[in-house]
Amino acid sequence: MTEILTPSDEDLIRIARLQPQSCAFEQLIKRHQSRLRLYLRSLTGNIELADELAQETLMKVHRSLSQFKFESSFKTWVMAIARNTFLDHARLAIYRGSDNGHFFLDGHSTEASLEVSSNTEDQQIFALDLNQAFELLSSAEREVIAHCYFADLSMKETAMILKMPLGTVKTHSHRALIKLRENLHAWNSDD
Amino acid sequence: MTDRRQQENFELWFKKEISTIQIEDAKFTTNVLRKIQAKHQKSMVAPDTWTVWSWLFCSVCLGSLLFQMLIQIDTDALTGPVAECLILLLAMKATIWQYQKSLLYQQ
Repeated sequence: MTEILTPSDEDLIRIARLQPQSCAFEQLIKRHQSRLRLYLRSLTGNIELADELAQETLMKVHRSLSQFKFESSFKTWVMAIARNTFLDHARLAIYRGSDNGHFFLDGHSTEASLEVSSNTEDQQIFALDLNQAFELLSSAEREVIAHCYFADLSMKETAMILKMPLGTVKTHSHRALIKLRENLHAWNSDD
Repeated sequence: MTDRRQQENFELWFKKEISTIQIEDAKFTTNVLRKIQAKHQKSMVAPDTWTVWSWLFCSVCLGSLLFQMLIQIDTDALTGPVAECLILLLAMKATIWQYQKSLLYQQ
């Protein structure tokens, strides 16, 4: 029986560097777009803006692919670029006076920011529920949850990106999860 | 069930719920690839602003040098750095042409 091996991210990066015309980068986009977009939606609270920032992030990733040093995972690197892209955008918006700086869910509390058109009704309800529960978290707690759960990064990777001590990340995560547990209706009804 | 156990269960449930949310569409990937391609093509053809200004700077320098050479020429006897002036004139024409070309590409 022949075993079909799925190339790792690192393999795809090497191929994309050597053969820019190959579909290696496309594979990388397909592999990480869902988490990236979800992560940016959790940061911005706006579907269109999140997708716009995700595209900008992937363009930056493509441009600096040769600078990737394989010291962290590709996903961590992409999420760090995404966070910087988001922060740049937020700073610019504050400078222009088009936003008051509270990006996450600000003014979008009644919309399902994590709404996914292709998903089931249950998931859409969960997204709306999650949105409302997220409003009760502090900005640091939201960021930690966005990194650890939406971007699916480890606590260590989150600490590295957020430039926070690991203990602080754990504390924020713990507090946030308690708040979410108390306020997520889906969990409480299951429970 | 202890509170700690319940919290652990919640964490597992939460992780599972998040992982079920899949945002994937081919259109997104196509859009990103198209933008990358467009940017790549633009960078292949259009010179950056630095290059455009460098050509202009070269033209101005050559022009100034040409002027200095021209005033050294004795117009009656046609002696002095005539050949140098002709070379500088050609060089200046070439740099102006390059400047105009790069400016056109940028637009």
